[in-house]
Amino acid sequence: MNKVELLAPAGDFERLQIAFLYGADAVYVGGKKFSMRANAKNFSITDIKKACVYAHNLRKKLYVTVNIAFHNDDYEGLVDYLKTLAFSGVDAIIVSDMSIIDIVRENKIKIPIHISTQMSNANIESVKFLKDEGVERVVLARECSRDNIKQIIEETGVEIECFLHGAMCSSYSGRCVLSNYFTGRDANRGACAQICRWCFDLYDEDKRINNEDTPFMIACKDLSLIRHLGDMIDIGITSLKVEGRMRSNYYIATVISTYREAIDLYYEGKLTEEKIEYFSKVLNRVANRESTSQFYDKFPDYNEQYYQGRQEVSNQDFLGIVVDYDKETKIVTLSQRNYFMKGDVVEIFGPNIESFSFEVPELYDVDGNVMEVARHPKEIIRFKLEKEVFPNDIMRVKVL
Amino acid sequence: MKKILVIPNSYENLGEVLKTNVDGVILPIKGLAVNSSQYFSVDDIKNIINLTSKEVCVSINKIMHNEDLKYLESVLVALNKLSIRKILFYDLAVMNICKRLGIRKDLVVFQDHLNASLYSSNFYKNRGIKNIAITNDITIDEINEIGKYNSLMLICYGYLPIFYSRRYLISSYLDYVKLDKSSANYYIKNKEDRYPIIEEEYGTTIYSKMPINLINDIDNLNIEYIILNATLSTREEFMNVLYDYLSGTRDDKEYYKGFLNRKTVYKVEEYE
Repeated sequence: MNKVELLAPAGDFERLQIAFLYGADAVYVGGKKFSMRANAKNFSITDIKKACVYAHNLRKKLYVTVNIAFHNDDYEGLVDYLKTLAFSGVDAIIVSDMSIIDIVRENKIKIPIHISTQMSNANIESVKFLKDEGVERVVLARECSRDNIKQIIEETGVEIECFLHGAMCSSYSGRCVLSNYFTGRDANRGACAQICRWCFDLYDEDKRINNEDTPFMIACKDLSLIRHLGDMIDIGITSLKVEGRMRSNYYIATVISTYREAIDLYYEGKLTEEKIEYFSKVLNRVANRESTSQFYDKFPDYNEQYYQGRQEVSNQDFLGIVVDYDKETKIVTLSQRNYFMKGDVVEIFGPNIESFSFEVPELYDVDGNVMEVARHPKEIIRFKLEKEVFPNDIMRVKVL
Repeated sequence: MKKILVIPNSYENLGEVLKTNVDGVILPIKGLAVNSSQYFSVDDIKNIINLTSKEVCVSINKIMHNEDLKYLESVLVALNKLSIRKILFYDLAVMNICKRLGIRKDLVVFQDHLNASLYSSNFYKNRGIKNIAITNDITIDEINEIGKYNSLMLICYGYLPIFYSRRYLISSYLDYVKLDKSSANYYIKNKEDRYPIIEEEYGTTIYSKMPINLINDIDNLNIEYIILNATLSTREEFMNVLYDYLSGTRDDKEYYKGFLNRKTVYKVEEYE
């Protein structure tokens, strides 16, 4: 059996590079059109071609989302776009509109099709239907339990992809148009206004049930299946997907490197409970919401829901990214991302080093002047560090 | 002449509806349908078919999980022996089981929000599906374009489901704040608009703030079937609406029409 694929999101080329560098086997991206993150930076055709070359040079894969629910006017340029994707060597397209299956076939476009979670496929029969239509892979609904997933894999023979980590829709994907009706923004064409994260008053007839401190919310906590990773591999899932094309470089680096290490340890028979506990803390730390295993191992109740109102805290652990390291002078050049100063205890992690912590020494600006604090985003900072680090290694607050 | 099909909201409502000149009814199947006020067993449907010469259709619009499949298959086999006119479905499992077992009932795609274009309708048409219950999320022009090439059904009256979750969102919240659940009608408020929120056996649904009513537009709609959904409406409200549709009433009132005359928006950069 092939090793499970770790599939990462990327909102732009820089995030794609980070995702691959930190251990993703494949990355999925959206184009400027036809994608469910219409307001992300997304990839132009030129970017996609460049991304394909980049991925394939690393012997990794690139998938492109074409996953909106199409209206009549949305098809303009689609056939040419799909042909260009195929010609560029994109490894698959991720779709939710069934019309794409016929369009690819009728135009003889040779590109594998993956069916998006937007279709909410959650059973053996629907997956078999899609298999008969020539679909290569199905991304199952996030409402599937572990046993459901296992049965589908055993009885269909189709590649199955499951979400592993990240934000979740509270509704079945594809069955929510709250954004459309509340704001006019089309949830199924990439402009979801995330109404599910709003606070509401809940009424029983004319009586308000909630008080000011406990608004009614329909949002759910994020998904994290780090504690079930081994089981997900054992039941034969082909690809483990991390959500988050709008997420930061830091989030992607942290989440992907954590799952990369966990997966590799599992295959070596070395993924201990202690390690899982540590990874869980790292993942919790980088998120701005609590996470649970959602539907995987039990039916959700209030423990899986999010009632904290809009109190998500922006993560300030990400301090900087290594730009350069001079082995002779042992000077690190770092691009700052959050406030830090001399004396702070921090750590650096990266794909080619073991993470280590240290106390921040004297800081210098590009002209060699001493600095008390690093306070400006993307400011270039220099300091001395005995241990070698590499470009794109990340410095963060030491918390664990 | 457009046909009128009703989704009744109770047995009593069904009885009243069948006494009118409607062309037929759509009966949501117990255990396999969602977003209705009343569900019917296969035995109910057998009895109803015997009582009326009108078109009896059924709705199977739940998202299926593996544990539903055995029952789904048994229901489809049973329905195949009855003079059901159409089966409205959401999940592809229905298509696959019918294909596998050679069940030749007319299937109607009924997917709320996913089926929004001519090409997606054609996908199903190319696979033998004769009718599409087209989404209410598109404009009249879009509906009519699709209607040129497909036989369409459209919900013309009723509260629209605009959010459907497998979770029990009301019960979970009430557990969290330690309150008991009553059987009353819940709604959430956004500014001055009230959105009914209903929790039932298979999850939680939020409905549109009011029922849509396209009575003044049906002459301009290129559809074959008008669906009138009584779910969440009172008996009196619904029957008044039904009589208006049956009598061909048109008026000057401004009804809520959803997206019939306005497009949804999304930002798309220029394709290079």
